[in-house]
Amino acid sequence: MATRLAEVDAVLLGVGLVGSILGRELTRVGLSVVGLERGDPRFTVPDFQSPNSHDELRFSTRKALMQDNVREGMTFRNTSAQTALPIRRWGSFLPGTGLGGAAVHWNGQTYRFQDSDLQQRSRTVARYGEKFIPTDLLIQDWGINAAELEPYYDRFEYLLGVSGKAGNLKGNKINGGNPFEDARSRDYPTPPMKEPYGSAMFRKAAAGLGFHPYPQPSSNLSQPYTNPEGLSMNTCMFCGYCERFACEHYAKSSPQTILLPILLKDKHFKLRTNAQVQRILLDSSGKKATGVLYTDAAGREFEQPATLVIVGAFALNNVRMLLLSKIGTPYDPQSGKGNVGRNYAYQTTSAVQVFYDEKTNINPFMRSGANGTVISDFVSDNFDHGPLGFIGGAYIGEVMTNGRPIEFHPTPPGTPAWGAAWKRAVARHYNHTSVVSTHGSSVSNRSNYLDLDPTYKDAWGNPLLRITFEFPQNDLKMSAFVTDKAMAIARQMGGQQVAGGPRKGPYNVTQYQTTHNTGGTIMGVSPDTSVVNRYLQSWDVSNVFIIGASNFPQNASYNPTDTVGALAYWAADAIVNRYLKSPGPLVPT
Amino acid sequence: MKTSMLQGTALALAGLMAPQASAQPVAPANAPASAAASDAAEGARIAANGAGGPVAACASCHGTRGEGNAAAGFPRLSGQSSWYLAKQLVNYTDASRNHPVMTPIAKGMTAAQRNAVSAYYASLDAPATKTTPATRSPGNGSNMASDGRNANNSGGAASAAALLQRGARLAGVGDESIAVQSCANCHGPGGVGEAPAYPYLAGQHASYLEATLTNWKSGARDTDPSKQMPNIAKRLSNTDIAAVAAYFSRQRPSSLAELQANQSSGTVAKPVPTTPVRSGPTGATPTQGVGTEQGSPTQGGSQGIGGGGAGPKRP
Repeated sequence: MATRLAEVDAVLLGVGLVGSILGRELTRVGLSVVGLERGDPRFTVPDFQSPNSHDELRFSTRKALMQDNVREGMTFRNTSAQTALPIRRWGSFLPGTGLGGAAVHWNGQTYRFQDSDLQQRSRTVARYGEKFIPTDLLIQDWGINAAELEPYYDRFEYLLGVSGKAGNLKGNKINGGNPFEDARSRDYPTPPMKEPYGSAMFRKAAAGLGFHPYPQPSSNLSQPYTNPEGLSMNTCMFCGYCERFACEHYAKSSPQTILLPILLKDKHFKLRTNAQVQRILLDSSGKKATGVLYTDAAGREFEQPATLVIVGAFALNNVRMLLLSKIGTPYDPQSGKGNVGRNYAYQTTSAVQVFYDEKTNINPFMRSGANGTVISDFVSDNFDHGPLGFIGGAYIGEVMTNGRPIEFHPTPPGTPAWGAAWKRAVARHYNHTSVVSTHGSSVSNRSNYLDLDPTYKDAWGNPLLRITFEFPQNDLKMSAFVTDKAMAIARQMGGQQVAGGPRKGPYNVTQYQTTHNTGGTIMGVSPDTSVVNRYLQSWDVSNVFIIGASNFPQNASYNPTDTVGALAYWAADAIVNRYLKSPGPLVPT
Repeated sequence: MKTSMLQGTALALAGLMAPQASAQPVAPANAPASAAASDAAEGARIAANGAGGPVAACASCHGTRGEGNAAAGFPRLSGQSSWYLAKQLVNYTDASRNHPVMTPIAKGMTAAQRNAVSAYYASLDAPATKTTPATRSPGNGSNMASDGRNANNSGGAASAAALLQRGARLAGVGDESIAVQSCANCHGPGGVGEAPAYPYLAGQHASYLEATLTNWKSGARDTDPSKQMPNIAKRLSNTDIAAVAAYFSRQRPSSLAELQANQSSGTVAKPVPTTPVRSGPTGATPTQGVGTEQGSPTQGGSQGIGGGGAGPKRP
C-alpha cells in the first residue's frame, strides 16, 4: 500500500535538463515542486573529479553514467516481423540517468534547428510539391516556427553560455558564422572555442571547395562565463573526456553547473533521488492526472499527489511513461491509428578518416566534446533536393571528440584486426589521423515506432519499452549523397589516404552512433497526429506536460539539445503565463 | 601589503645573492643527446655564472641543483618541464608575471638563453629537501596574520593538522561550496605535474606556492589564458591558499626519471623512436581492423560509427 504524501503544485518526472529548467521556472513563480529522480544525486565536486572521472573502462566501455539496464532495459528489433530482444549492454545510444540526466555526459554540441526543419512538411510541399514526399513517410510540421522559438533558444543558450559565432544577426549575414541559420537576436554568449589542427585543415579544404565552414557551437566554454542565474563556469581545458563522462572543471554546461545550485536552495523545491516513478495516476475520468506513484530505493511505494505533472525524462522513457500510465492511444503500425510511440526517429551518421604522414600531428587527445569546424551547406533544405529524390540532410565537420586510449585506434582499411601488424598500425596512425563526420536527419515513417514489450519486464514488473527501427531508404540515400561530399572535402585535406563510406542498413543497436532518439510523444497541430499540442501539453490529460526530444515529429540534421532546452523554456512560459491563469487545454480540440 | 611583501623579497634576495654567486651547479643528470644537451650545457653556464648585466647566476637563489630555497620563497626548478620554465621567463618579460628580481633577469636574456637555462633545469634531478617539521606553522605566509581563521594560534599541531587536511581535500577533491575543482585534475594526483604545460607542485616550497597563489588571486600573476588559475585562486580564502601550499610542500617530489616517465613521446625528454614502423595493409586476413567496442568494430574519435568508415561488412 502506497504512502500518500502531501499534495504539491507540480511534480517533475526526472531531474535532468528539462526537469531542472521546469523546476526553476515553476518555483520562481512560487509553485511548490517535487523533483523525482530515479538515479543518484551527484555534483561536480566530489563526484566528477579526476583521476576517477577519466576512467575510460568504467565510464566509456562499461557506461557507468547510463541507465541501469539490468533493472530497467529496453528491447529492440529491426522490423515488426521479428521478435525483439533486450539490449543487455548499451551500444548504439546511451540513455543517461542520475541527477542532471544525459546533460551530464553529453558532448555540448549546441545547434538551433532551422525553420525548414520545424515546418518540414509544408516547406517541402511548397518547394517540391506534394508528390515529393513518399507516402510511407510521416514527416509533419511541429506547430511552431523558428521565429517563435528564437527567444527561447536565446534564453537557453545564455543559460548555457554557448561558445560560437553568429552567422545571421537579425537578418545581417556575418562572415565566419553559419550563413544558413535563421536570424538570431544576438550573438552567442561567448566566442568560439579554439580551432584544433585537424579542424583547421577541414576549414581550408571546405572553403576551397566553395562551402561555408564555421566553428561548431559548443557548450564546453571558450572562456569564463557567468550566466543569468549568477552561476559561473570555467574555460574548457580540452581534456578529451566529454561524451560518456562528466566534466571535472565546471566547464561543460550541465544542470550541475548552470541551474541546480540555485534550484536546490529554493525553499519551494524538494529533490528526491532514487525515486523510480511507476506511473502517472489518473482520476476516474481518465482526463485528469492526480499525481504519480513511485518506489524509493528501499522498495517502499509512495503516492505523490500533484496538480501538475511534468514528464521530462529521456525521450524514450517519456514515451514509456505515457504507455505505462495509459495516457493517449498506443500507435498501431498495421492500422496507422494511435499516436503514442508514433514517429520514432533517430539520426543518420557516417564518417570519413583522413590518414596523414608522420609529420602531421593531429593530437586527437587535445579535444573537447563540441570543438571543431563544420559546414551546413548540406543541412536540412539548404540545397536543392529536386533532382536528388530524398528529404533532409546533414552537417559535415571535423568534430573529433577524443583520442582516448581504449576507443581511438584508427587504422587504414585492410589492416588486420589484431596482432602485431594491428599494433604497429595503431602506433603509426594514432596521432596522424583526422576524422570527418556527417550528422544527418532521420525521417519518421510508418514502420518505425515504440511500444511496450509483450515479454520482458523491468525490476518492478513493468513492461520494457520495445524499439522497432530500421533506417528508411530516404535516409540511406541522403547519407550516400552527403558522405560523398564529405569524402570530397577529406580528399582536399592533405592526407595520404582517405577511407570511409555512407551509412548502410541494417541498423545495428550494438554499435555506438548517437544518443539522439526522438519522437513517440510528438508535438503537432492536431490530436489525430500528435500526442501533445504546440505547448507540449497532453491532448488527452491537460495537466500533464511532456517535454523532450520525444516531441520531435522527425529528427533534424543537427544535434537536439538546444531545441530540447528551447522547448523546455517555451513550455514553461506557456504553463506560467497561460495555463496557471486558466488551467485546462491551451489549444481547443 | 603587496608592495611591502615584494620589497621584503627583494631584500632577502640581495642578502642571499652575494655569498652564493660562485656556486657551481652540478652537471645535468640523464642529459638528452644532441641539441638538447648543448642547450643544457649553455644553460648550465648561465645557471652558474649568469649572462652578464642584470642576469645574475640562477644558482645563487634557486640552488646548485635547482632545489630552490624554502625560507626565502624561491621555487624549486629541477625537473620542471623546460616548456613551462621558458614560458615563465617570457611571462616576466611581458609583465603577465612580475617579480622585482626575476623581471629584469628575464628581460636581460635572449630567447636562446631563456630556452637554454630552462632546458638545463628540466634536466636536473635534485633530491627532496628536508620537509618542514609538522609542528611548524604550515604556509608561514605573511597573509596568515590577516586571516580570521589563522592556523598559527594556540592550537599548534592540531590546527596544523587541520590545515593539512583542508589542503589535501582541496588538492585531491576540491570544494563544491566554492565551486573549486581538484588541483589533481590538471596537476596530477598528488601534484606530480603533467608536463609540459602543468607544473609539478609536489615538493614545491610552501612559501613559493603561497606567494604565487596570492599573486594569482590579486592578478599580479596573469599567465593563464584560460583564466582557470585566477578564477580558482580568487575563490580560495587565504587559509585555503596556505592549506594547499602546506599540503603540496609535504608531498615527495618526483625524481627526474619519474617525471619523464609521464611525458609523452615526441618531446625533447622522450624522443620518438627512430626505428621505422610498418603500417598496414600487411596481412592476408580479410577482417578490417578498426578497434572494437563491445565486440563491434569501431573506428574511434568522434560520433558517427564511433568515428569513421562504413562500419562492419555484414552478410
